[in-house]
Amino acid sequence: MLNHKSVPNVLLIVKMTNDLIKLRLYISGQSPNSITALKNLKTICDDRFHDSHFIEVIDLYEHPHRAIEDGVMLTPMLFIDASPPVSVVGNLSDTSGLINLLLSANKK
Amino acid sequence: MTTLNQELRELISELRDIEARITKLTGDAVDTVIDGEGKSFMLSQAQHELRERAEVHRQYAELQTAIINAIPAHITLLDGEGKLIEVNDAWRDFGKINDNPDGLFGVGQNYLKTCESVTGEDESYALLAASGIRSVLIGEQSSFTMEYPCHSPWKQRWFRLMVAPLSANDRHGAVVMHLDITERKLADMEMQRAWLVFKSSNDGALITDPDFIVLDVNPAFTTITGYSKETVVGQKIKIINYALQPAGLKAIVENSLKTDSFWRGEVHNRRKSGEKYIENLSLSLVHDAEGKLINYIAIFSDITQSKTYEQQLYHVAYHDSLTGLPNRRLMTDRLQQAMLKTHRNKDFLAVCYIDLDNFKPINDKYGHAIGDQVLIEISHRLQQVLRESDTVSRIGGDEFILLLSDLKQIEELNTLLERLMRSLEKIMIDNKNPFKITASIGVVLFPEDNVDADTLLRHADQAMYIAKEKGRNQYHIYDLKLAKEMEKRSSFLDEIKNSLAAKDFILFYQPKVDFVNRTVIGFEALVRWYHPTRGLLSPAAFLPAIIGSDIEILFGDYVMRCAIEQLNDWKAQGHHLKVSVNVSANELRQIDLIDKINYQLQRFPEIDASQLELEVLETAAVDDMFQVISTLTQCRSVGISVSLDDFGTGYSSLTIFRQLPVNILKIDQSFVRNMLSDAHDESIVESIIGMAKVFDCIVIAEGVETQAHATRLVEIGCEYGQGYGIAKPMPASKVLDWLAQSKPTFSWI
Repeated sequence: MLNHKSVPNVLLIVKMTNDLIKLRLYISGQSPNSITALKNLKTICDDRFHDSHFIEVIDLYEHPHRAIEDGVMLTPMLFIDASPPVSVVGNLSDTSGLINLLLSANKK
Repeated sequence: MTTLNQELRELISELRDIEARITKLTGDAVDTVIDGEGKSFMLSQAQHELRERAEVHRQYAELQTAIINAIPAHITLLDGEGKLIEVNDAWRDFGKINDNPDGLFGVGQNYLKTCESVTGEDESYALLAASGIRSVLIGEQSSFTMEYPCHSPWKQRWFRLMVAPLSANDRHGAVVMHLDITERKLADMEMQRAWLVFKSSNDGALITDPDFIVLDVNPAFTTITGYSKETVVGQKIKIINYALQPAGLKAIVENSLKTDSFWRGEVHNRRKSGEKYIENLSLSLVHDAEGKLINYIAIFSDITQSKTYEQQLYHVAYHDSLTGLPNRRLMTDRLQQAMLKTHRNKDFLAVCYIDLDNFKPINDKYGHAIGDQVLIEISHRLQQVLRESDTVSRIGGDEFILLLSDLKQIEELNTLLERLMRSLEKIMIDNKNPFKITASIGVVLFPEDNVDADTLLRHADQAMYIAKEKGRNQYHIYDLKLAKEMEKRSSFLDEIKNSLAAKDFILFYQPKVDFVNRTVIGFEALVRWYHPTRGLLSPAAFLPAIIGSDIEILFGDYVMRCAIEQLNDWKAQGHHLKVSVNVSANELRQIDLIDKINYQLQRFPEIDASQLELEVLETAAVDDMFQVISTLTQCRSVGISVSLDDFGTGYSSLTIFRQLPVNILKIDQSFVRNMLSDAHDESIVESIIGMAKVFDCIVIAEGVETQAHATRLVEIGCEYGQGYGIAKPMPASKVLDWLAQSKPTFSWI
């Protein structure tokens, strides 16, 4: 009768600065690793990159064409828009590795 | 088929291998793989976890549904438009009772529209509910609550409507609950009614906690006490101020509260203004289900005014309006109390009946206004003289009664009475001439005179009359012994009176004879009493009581009437006889004696006055010589004979004898009886006979007991006689027989 509150499909945290780390997380619905990846990413970003990140979450069940366009083959997958761009596949449970990647991306 | 199965099995195995390799490659951290066309393939581990999570969600949702169904309130979910999305069991059950044709219990219908379409007496409530729900739906209010009646023909019901906003996912709506509050509502209404009674009552009401902290009071409480609700609520209060009550009340109240949880009575209290008042108080204890004291409830009414009226009425009923002294009623009350107290204390009590001797002339001469002032002054003086324990009361115009109690010695009483009489002297009104007032006081002592209150007062009254007779301005103490004798005599006289009415007194007749001519010259009428219990009584048993009493004249008249009637009886039977009647001194003093005799004689025209003879005593004549002579002369003039009885025993005065108009002399029997043996007596008899002859009187000897007496009497010149020797007194019925028998023989000489 009362629906369980679901995770929002798109979560946008917008910070209008020039030094933003641009991130794209590809997930597939409520799948367990997708949810874990989103949770881990949010925790790290909120803790370490509070004012300097931008996350775009893309559910490939809803937007399957993005998989073709962005060449995504596995979910969850994090795309860090840096030069060179970095892709991380998995539920992002290696938080320290991810932090190092994000730090180096931020410096650039 | 086998080859197809074989091929399928190989492909699945290959799929497993591929999946296992991908899983291994991605460290089990990937859910789906996506092909070049964007089509996802979920890995089995992710699928399994998703299924498990869905199961948890399902169980959780079931639990929530069960909880909501367990709530007795009728609950529904509305969407943003007001349409029913879901209802709980209570809602459904209520729908069943209220006839639900489509079995949907309204699901799918617009609840707002349903409400807005209600008509009749529930319309206003339904509209109010609709507007409340709408305001929550559009976010105007965060919640909405109302209570409304929903009566069925067989039951009164009330509901509370509660509306809360609901926001789930993107959907906005509201939760609507209807809770049956009938029980609470009825209790509320009862409370309200009780409260209304409490508020509108004219009786003051007060409720406190067990420590006498005031919880509430009603408006009448403020009206009566002057204390406003605000000043007393929260304060500790003394429901009964024991300092203002008679001692011992506290124990009574506490005992009553302990045993009955209730006490009612009159208590004194003080208003805010300090004014005292009297209240009729009911005090109740209230206990909870466990028997623990939770409240004191006091209900009280102001009875000061009715109490005052009561006291005024009491005063009017028990006091004399002129002097303010106790009246007879109150005095009688106090007398009875004093008598009881006297018995206990073993002292004595004096009841004094005061009658002013010369008060009436004051009224006559100066008018009643002055008379009243004198009475008031007298009442003051009496009060001044007496002691605290005494009572002065006014019981009539100039009559007062004093109760002097706690007396130990008679001297105390004498002193008080002397002082009292002196206090009345020289009464001044308006500084003018003093009035000389004296009083006659009758005093009776209790318990010496051990009678009831009424009798005690009567005795005091009698003693007062004696004081008056003794010359006024004095007191007389009631003589108990004398009074007892008088009382005895009075009851004896009452008995005589009754017997007179019953004609129990009859006349006996004793013949008087002529010795020489051997004839009967007449009869002496002698009264006898046929007493109802004591039998036949001779005059000695009752005449002394009659002589000097107020019935003496009545008695004499009775004897006279009987004698004359008897003469008439005999006349009717052909016998012309003579009868003599004894007449007392007091009878002789009656001016109208001759008129009364004449009246009786006139009733019987056949009777001649000469047939009647009056026998009088010498002593009777002496007291009022002039009147007696006049009466007897009148009797003689109409032909009635008069004899002087018992001659020789009284004065035997020649002077008296000469003056009295008597024509017969009767020698007293004492001389006659002894004359034969006593020469002295014989000479007396002889000289009386001689004297009678000188005055030309007939002489009759009494006490003739033997023939020898008769013979001797004739020898010395007395020819007439009477006595036992001739005949004893006999009833009238025997007289004629006696006459017939005695005539031929004349045995007496």
